[in-house]
Amino acid sequence: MRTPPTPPSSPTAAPLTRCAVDPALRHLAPEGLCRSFSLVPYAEQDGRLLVAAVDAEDLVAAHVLADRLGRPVELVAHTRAAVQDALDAAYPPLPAAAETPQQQHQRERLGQVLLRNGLVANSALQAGYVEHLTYLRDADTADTADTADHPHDAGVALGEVLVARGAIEEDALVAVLSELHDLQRVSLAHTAPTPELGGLLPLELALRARVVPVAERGTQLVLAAARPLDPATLEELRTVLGRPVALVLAAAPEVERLILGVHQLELTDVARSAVTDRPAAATGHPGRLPGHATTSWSHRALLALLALAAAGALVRRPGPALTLLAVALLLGACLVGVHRAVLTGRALRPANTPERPGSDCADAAAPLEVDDDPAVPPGRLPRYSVLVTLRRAVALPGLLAGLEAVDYPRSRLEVLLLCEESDATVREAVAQTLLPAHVRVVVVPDSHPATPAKARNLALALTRGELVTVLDEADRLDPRQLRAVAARFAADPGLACVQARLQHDVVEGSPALVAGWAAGALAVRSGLWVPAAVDAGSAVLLGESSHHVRSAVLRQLGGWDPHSQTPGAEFGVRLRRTGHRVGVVAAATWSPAPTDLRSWLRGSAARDRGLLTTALAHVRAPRRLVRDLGVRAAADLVLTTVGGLGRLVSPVLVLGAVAWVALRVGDLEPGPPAVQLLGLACLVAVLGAALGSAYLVLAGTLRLRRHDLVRSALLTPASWLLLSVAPLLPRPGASGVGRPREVCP
Amino acid sequence: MSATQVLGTDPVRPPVRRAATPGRGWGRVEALLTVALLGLYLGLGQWVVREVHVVGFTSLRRFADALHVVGEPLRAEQVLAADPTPLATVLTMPLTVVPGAVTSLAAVPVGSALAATGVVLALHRALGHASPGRLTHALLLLGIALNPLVLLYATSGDALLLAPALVLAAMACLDSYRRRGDLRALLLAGGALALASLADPRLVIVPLVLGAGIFLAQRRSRHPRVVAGAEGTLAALLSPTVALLALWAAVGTLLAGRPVAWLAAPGALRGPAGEGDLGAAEAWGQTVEALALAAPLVILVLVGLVVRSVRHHAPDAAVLAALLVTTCCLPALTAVVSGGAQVQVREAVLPLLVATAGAGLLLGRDATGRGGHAPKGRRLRRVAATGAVAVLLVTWPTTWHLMRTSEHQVLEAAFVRAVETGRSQEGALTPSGNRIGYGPEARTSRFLRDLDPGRRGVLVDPEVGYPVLVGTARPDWFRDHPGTAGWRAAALDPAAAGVRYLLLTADPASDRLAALHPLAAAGLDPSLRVVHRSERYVLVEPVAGAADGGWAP
Repeated sequence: MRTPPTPPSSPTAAPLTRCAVDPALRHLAPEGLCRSFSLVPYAEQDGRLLVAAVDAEDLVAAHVLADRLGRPVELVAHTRAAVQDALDAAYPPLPAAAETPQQQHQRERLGQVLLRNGLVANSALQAGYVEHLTYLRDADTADTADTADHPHDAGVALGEVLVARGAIEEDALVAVLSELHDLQRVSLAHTAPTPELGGLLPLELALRARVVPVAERGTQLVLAAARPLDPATLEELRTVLGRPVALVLAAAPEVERLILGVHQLELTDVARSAVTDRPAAATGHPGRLPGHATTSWSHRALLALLALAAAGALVRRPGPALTLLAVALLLGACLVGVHRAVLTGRALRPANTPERPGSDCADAAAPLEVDDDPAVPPGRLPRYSVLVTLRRAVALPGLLAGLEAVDYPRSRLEVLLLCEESDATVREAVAQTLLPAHVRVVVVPDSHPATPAKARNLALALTRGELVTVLDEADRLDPRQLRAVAARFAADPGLACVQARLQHDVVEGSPALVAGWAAGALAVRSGLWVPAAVDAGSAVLLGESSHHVRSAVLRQLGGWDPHSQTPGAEFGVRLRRTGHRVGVVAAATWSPAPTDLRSWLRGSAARDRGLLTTALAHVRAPRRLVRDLGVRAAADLVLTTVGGLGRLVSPVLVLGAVAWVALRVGDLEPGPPAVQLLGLACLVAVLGAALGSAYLVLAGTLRLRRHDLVRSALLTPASWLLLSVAPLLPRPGASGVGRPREVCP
Repeated sequence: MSATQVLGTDPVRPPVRRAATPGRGWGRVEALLTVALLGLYLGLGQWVVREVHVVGFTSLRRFADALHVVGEPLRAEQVLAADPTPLATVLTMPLTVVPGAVTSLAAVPVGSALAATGVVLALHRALGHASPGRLTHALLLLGIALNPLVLLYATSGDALLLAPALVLAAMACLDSYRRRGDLRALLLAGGALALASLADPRLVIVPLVLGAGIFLAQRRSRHPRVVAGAEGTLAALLSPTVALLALWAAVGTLLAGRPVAWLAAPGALRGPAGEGDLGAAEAWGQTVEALALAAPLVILVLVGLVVRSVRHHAPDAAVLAALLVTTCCLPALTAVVSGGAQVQVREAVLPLLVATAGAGLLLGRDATGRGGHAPKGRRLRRVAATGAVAVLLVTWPTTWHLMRTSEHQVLEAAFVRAVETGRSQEGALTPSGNRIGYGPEARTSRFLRDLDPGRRGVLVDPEVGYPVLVGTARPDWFRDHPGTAGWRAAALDPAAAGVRYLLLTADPASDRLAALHPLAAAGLDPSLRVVHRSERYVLVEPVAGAADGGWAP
């Protein structure tokens, strides 16, 4: 409830001197508010707060202050010098002024027009002022402020803040801006994209200026813009187009939709092949896998020769060949086991031990509720783009509720919901839902491959955030995650990517055991492997959700590999190959555990295949891989992913082990020693993997304090045996945007 | 200590750790200590085993099993499934790679010396945490390291110290987890306890006692997080033991049809020198006598633990006390349960000595952390440490006396005599009536090496022939799988089965082969000609074309 201000300039109020400012009161109001309205609280009298102000009749200032402090205030007229002096004493002056007179004029004009037309509530406008000024002031002192934070017009910037806060509609802002800038306002809601016209403007410029050609008027080209343009951009447009242009204003989502429609082919092409078309040195991508056109004949010939040699050895000298196979199997199993034990030990190191100060892993081992990097000041929070793959209409309400809970300024946050053009149900559901101002929909044109990675690549072109992260529709962010990640990036400017912890929660209706197994496996990946890899400086096999990347790095690396089944993990390898570092935060992303055994088995098998494909793709040029990663990191990559290979061949191992046991129990003719040895090797590998995996899952669940998963962790050997048949299940089709998640996160 | 700090709970906030390894050059001290101890134990071991022939047949049996596993990996499961201490056998395998070291018995004391060194080093580290002062530290270490029983079993190749070493490591890990919340330590503790149960099946009781302690501590807490954390801790601690035992039981079931074949194997639950039934009262009496003479320190430590448990409401001290009591009672309980085995001095005292030292150190360290730096605490600690040193040093002569006089022992008296006289004990008798020595086995082995009987050329009952096998270091020469049909067929008709020699003893009661050919050892079987004879063994050769002279059906 608001407290009405008292009439200003009471003659009884004591005047302000610098030393008369009550120290307990001078920090009562935020600095941004004090400086923007040129006022400072300085004393209390009869229950009223005396506030020195340059303009004692500024009703807006009195309202805002009373509203903010929740008590009656009285503005007392003072000279600007006196107020400024008191303010400088309370808040030492910053290198640059928060707002120039011209910016103040632009801002005030926009506010006045909005108020005059009744488009905004006064309190909402004031709150917007404060937020806008905070950004302006902090951005002026921040090194990393991007141009998107500095529109040439402070009115536009304030308008953006108001729209993001839900104080005004986008249409209202466009209307006011068109009035202020004397520009025609148009609606493009029913305008179809016209590639002939739209194609005249290069995609990059169209996206940067948020402009699309919509009509010709004589020699003039009519450009629809989301916001008024500064003279330099306007001149650039004229130069590029080679003809005079006329500007009209339209709502930003409509402009964006038209840009997407006009440049659909180009955007799709970029999304599909940016990774592979650029030089490998820039993207870290090794080229496509066998089966694709980029596979060389020499590779195929080498593989064929190896297969022939193996077959020949088995036929001609079966004994030594089988013995060799058994020894290789045992050695491989031991190597993988030891490697996993080392990784686990690395991940489980207690925090803040002297041997590893400041390690990322130490942070990840800290209690879950602590991500203790210094918080980023509100004005310096980077712009964030969240890309969410939307597959099912039914998931939309839950998704929006989850996003609503995220603690991040809406004016710094944009959420792009990605849905397929062919998925009419989802598009209709989205159209019928009133989305928050910071959430917008990107309809992904149908094209091959229909994967979430390609959709994200396409949406990446439309994002304006410094940081980009990806989510699945069913994911639920820890509300503090974005701030924690921003703080991590701010604390370590060398980081290119931060992986948030991924966890499954058990939703009602899913079998507890299957859900527990899935959650346990995710706990191992997210709670052990990722922190261990970060700690070791190895390639981090990122999760398929909640990896936060600097958008510049993402663009430099060509985005995600649209052909990969595990684009997150693949991107993690490329990050390391191109010399980038990854960090972790403990703030988690929760997703529901698989609801049935079959879907979990298929998801796990798909992930194993994806990881294996990633490893194979990168290992094809081993010397380059070692040069990029170093020997240890390359070995880490191979040994981490070879577990997937183990599971793919595990049906054979299980059969071998069962046969060996049957021969022993039945007291049958055991066969040649080489065959026996192979059977024994299979048994050892199966038992080692099954029991070892149980202990690993136990370690992962204990580390994440998921005590609810302990019982299912103890039954992991059974899940391992079930997983061994997963590769035999029919493969799902490509994991498109329109289909449920096919790969474990 | 609050309920949230007991072993079984999830540490809410790991407390700040004091400097664990004090002073510079600590690593150098440890390295020197390792070299000195290893040198002492190995040097003394060579003398004890090779010069004065104080070597237990259980050690030779372990070497024989290890040779089998290395020589025939495809039959490994048959050897290990029936082995009551498979871990010791597996760890012995690397010691068999040099055949000369095996035949000369030089490799025999290596394993025990390593285990004993490990135990003393672990105690040294624990002492470092307890900070009792340098002189006390050194004297306490000396008191354990040079205890006569420790010396005997560090030098004679016995695997008895392996299990206590693992339990000690597990306790140290658990302590680390309790203090620092180090999950690695918890997982390692679980693994160490599992391995300990494979080194001595009776030690399955240790994780059970720990589990019970954690369960009881958890019940006292009403905090749901503590309860949930305890479940995780219990799972991490017990699951490796359960899994390994289940695996072993499965192997036993598959191969022998008995899930606890390894537990029922000779020597698993009873001493090797059992001499008939023993009443419960006598068993307990022997236990008390052994403890009073050789490990009186346990009484001091137990009192300390109980006081701490009651005064400070410390469940971890109560758990340690329960562990100590269990260790005290274990030999007598085993004797009673197994129906008549004796309480061996070594089994009663040695593990207890190690456990007591470990528990005492943990107690001392906790006392240091809880007001131990106050003047009164410092004084109390000094008195306790001095008392512990005095008791440990006084224990030397009493232990020596016990070793010399106890009737229930294996090699203790022989060791004492050897040290006192410096003479070989070859041919001497133990108080329980067994003859000491390796001479007959060595001579038979030498003869076989000269003979080179070829692959599967010697048929033998492994229960009696393993010392000879160790002397040759050639498991492939021996046909010693009595459980198979082929072995019995070969025993009944050696010539037809391609057997060149039969290795017999003169005792048909313990030798299945001698029981089948009762006249052969005396040279009265016309179908079997004696080619070599020593005090304990007879090597016979099937005579081609001779009528069967008399095998027992």
